[in-house]
Formats: sequence, C-alpha cells, structure tokens
Amino acid sequence: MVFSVAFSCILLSTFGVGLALTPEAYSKASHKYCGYRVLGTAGILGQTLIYLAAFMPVGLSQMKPILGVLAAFGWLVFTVNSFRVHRQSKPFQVQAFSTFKFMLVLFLAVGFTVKILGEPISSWDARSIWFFHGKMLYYANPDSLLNVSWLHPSVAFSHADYPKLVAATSAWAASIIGTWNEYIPKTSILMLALTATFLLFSLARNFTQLIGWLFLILLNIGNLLWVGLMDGYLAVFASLALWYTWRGLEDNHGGHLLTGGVIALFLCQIKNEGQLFLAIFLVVIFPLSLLQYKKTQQHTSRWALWPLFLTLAPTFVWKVFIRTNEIKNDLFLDSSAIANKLITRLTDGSLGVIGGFVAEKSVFYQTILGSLLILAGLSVYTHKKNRVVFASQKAKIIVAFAVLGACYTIGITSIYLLTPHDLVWHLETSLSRTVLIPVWVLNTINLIILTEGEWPTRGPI
Amino acid sequence: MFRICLLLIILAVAFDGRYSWRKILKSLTDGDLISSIPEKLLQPESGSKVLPIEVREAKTLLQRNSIQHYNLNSDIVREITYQRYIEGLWPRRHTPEKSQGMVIAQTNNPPHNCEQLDRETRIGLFRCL
Repeated sequence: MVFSVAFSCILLSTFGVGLALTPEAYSKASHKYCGYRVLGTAGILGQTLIYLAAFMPVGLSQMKPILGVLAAFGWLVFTVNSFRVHRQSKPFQVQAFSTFKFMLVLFLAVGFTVKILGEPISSWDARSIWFFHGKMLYYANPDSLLNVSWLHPSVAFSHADYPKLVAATSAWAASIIGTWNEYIPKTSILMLALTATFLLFSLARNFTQLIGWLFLILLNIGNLLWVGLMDGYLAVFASLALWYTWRGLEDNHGGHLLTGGVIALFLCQIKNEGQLFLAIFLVVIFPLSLLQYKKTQQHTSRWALWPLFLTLAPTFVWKVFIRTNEIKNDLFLDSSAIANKLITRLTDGSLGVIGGFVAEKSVFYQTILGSLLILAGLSVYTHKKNRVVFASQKAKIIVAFAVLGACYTIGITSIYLLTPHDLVWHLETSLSRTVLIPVWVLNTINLIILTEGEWPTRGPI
Repeated sequence: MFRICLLLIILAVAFDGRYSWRKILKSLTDGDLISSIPEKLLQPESGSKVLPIEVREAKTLLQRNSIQHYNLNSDIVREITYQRYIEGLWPRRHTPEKSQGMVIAQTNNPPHNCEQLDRETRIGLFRCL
C-alpha cells in the first residue's frame, strides 16, 4: 500500500506537472485526437520542469509543495477535459483512448516497470555517471545542482559536464520516497520509457506501424532501455523526433511539428550526443518544419510555442553553469588545437581503425546489416510496384532525414578522431552504443517508407 | 502486414539474438521479480549487493566508525574498481586532506606503518599518521 502510494506520487507528480505546462492539455480537440501525444509531451515537460527545479538554490526537495500543487492542477485540467470529450462521444469512439490502445499501453507500462525496477542499477556507466550524479544531488544540502561538488577531485572520472536530466529525476524520485537505494532512482528511466510509449501510441496510425516499431526497438536496443544507459533512449527519441516531424510535414499539422521539435530539444537533456543531433536537426530539418508550420492553421498561438523554450531552458542553464564554473569535458572539444588534431588523425590511419571496428562482427550484425537488408528489401519492393518516389516532396523529406543521419555519422566519427583517449579503448567501450542514432535514423526512414501510406508516382504533393 | 512480417523476419535473422523474445518474456513472467519489487523499492540501501564485496565492506567500516572523509590505499586508487568505491561510498568522500589519516585498504595488502582500527573479511580501516 505504502509502495503504491509513493510510487504513484512519483509518476503522477512528474506527468501532472507536465500536463499543467502543456498547452494542448487545455484543448478539448487535442484530447479527442491526440490524447497520448498530450501525455507524451507532458512527460517531457514534467521531467524538464523537475530538471529546472533542481537548479533552484533552495533545493529540489523544497520545491515539492509547489510542484505538487502544479501537478494536481495539471491532472485536474486533463481529467475535466477528458470527461468533457467522453460525454460528447460514444464510448470507445474517442480515437486517442481506444480500449485496444489502452490495453497495449497498460501492458507495456507494466512490462517496463517490472523490467526497469526489478533490477538494481548495475551497468558501469549508469553507476559511474547518470545515477552517481543523481546520488550526489540527492545527498547535497540543499539538494540543488548548483550546490553539488562537481569539481571534487575524486569524481573526475564521472563526466561532471554531462546533462543532468536523469540525475534530477532520479533524485526527485528518491526525495519523494525519502531514501536513496539501488532501485528507486531507476524510476527516472521509467519516466523516459512511459513518455516514449505515449508518444509512439499517438503517432502510430495502425497496428503494423505500432508493432513494427516496438518489435524493432525491443529487438535492437531493448536491453539498453532498462539497464540504466541513456544511448537506447537517445535513439528512441531521435526516431520519434523524426517521425513526428515527418507526420507534421505530411499532414500539415503544427502540433506534430512542434512535438518533433520538443523531442529534438529533449535529446540535449539526456546526453551530450543529443546536442549534435539537435545542431544537425536545426540546420537540415528545421527550415522545412518552419516553412510548413507557417502554412498550418492550427496551434499558431505563441502559447503553443512555449514547450520549445521550456525544453531548451535547462540545457541552456546547465551550459552557462558549467562554463562559469569551468567544468570541463573530458574530450576537450573546445580547445583551439582541434583543426590540427583532426588533420593529423585523418592522415595517420585512425579512420581505418574506426572502419575496422564498425566492420567487426558484433557491431556489424547489430547495426549495419539490418538496415542494409531493409533498404535492399525496400528497393525490390519499390521497383516491383513501379513507383517513382524520388520526385515528390515526401521523398525530399526522406532525403533530408538521410542527410541528417550522414551528418551525424560524420560528427561522431570526428569526435572519435579528436579523442584525447586511446582510440581503440574509446571505440571498444562506446561504439556499439554511439552508432545507434544513425542506425535508428535509417530504421525510421525505412519504417516510414514501408508503412506510411501511398506514395505519389510523380510531381510534388 | 505481409511487408512488415517480411521485414521482421529479415531483421530477426540479421540481429545476433542477444535480446531474444524468449529472454524478454521469461524475465517479464518471473513471479519472484514482480512480487519483490515493492519491498526493494522502499528499503534504504536495498540492492547494494550489486557493489563489489570490498566496497560493501568499506561502507560497513565507514558507517560503523562514523567517518565522513576517508583515504584509499594506493593499490585501490590504481584499480578500475576505484569508481565503485567513490560512488558506492558516497556521500562519504575520498578526501585525503580531510581524512585525518583514515585509510581504507585490503587486509592482505595493508599500508605500511599504520595501525589497524577495524576490519571486515577483505577490507580494513587503518589510521596512518
């Protein structure tokens, strides 16, 4: 009983806070057509606000009453709007909350809860980085990110400059329960899993898309979703950001475009690689989104843009904080000798070393081969159907996604080339995880092409 | 539906099978796992068995002797498990200058010229002045 109440408090407070900040939670139409997207956006904004609250000098635990009231308000608004929608519709006709979808969401939520909370924090990086930062925050007095000893000599191994979303939400969960142990901080991962689930269920138009995406995710990176590493979630949210952007551009839907942008910004709060993804997203995809958003009639109020600024805020504040306090990244990417180092590494055979690692069996099977096989199948399929897909605007979006994937791959390769560590060690310890975003950009493209309806034979849409 | 089935079969063959469905389903239906979650989540220190035995013993020693700042013997600092000591013992900190000579060391490799104050099976607490 105590467990149920305490556990519910953690999740309800996080999503409730997010609902209070989600503009679409106040809209009846949103409940009817995209209720899960409202919940997904609420998950992102709720975690974002907890992250921001962790910057308050008074400490995260002192913010509990304010966040509690905000969460209660958020759920009140959501519940009232949901009832209003249900009163006007026949039962089970509300698309967003059909019984089948609800049962699937429930099944996944229970599955994620059991898998994530059933095991203590055990993976190396999860203990040394993400949850260690959470523990440092929880035990700081007051428990504010501004008050943690990030520069203590003994924590130099811990990448103190990394984003602190998971640290903040895990400290939040421990703060509500009142103790730090090896299980309860993992609720922060459950929050990410549920957020991704809600966003997926809002996006999927049919059973094929839903099961196809879930199957791919669980098969490819399932294990990474519950051991406490962030790379799996980075890939999941990168995929969702692209898929939402696609849907927004395809349907001329401002809400979906905004959600795609919010997810892309959210990536920066999870891990530093998210910043690379966002930078490329802003250059390659954002202009397309902006042009399309201006054409949409929906969600054009300034209030609708608020989630974008909110999601950007903690990354901005944290960047200012680490620069002010001279908390350095272990890669020293801001040093002036980058260009010289890059040129040296390009000519000393390092690229061959990286290529060799990518070609190694384990990485090869997990990443490259799967996507290449899909592309091969896709090529056969499109030729068989005699469709000319590359003349349409849809195809241009797909090409933009592919460019994003290619640029990200170049960016990650450059980071490996610039590493001050031993290149082989760096590749051995991280390559199988850092390739996940490019692979999931490819997988998303393939899923979109295979499952997103009919393609035109010629001309722009 | 045919397309996606084909796609999934290709993928199932392509991937190395580390995350097989059987493995996932088995862990999801593990009765003990589900029933023990509420108990584990609420207990302070639960799950600390994932830490190496040496770190758990060091934690016990620091708690028993109410020590907030400690030093680690040089052989521990050189090992990769150093990270487990630092995060596992937090909020007690590895701050040699504030440790007042309190050193955590393996009992089979004690620091020289130090007095043993307390010990567990593998790890001891020493005062080095």
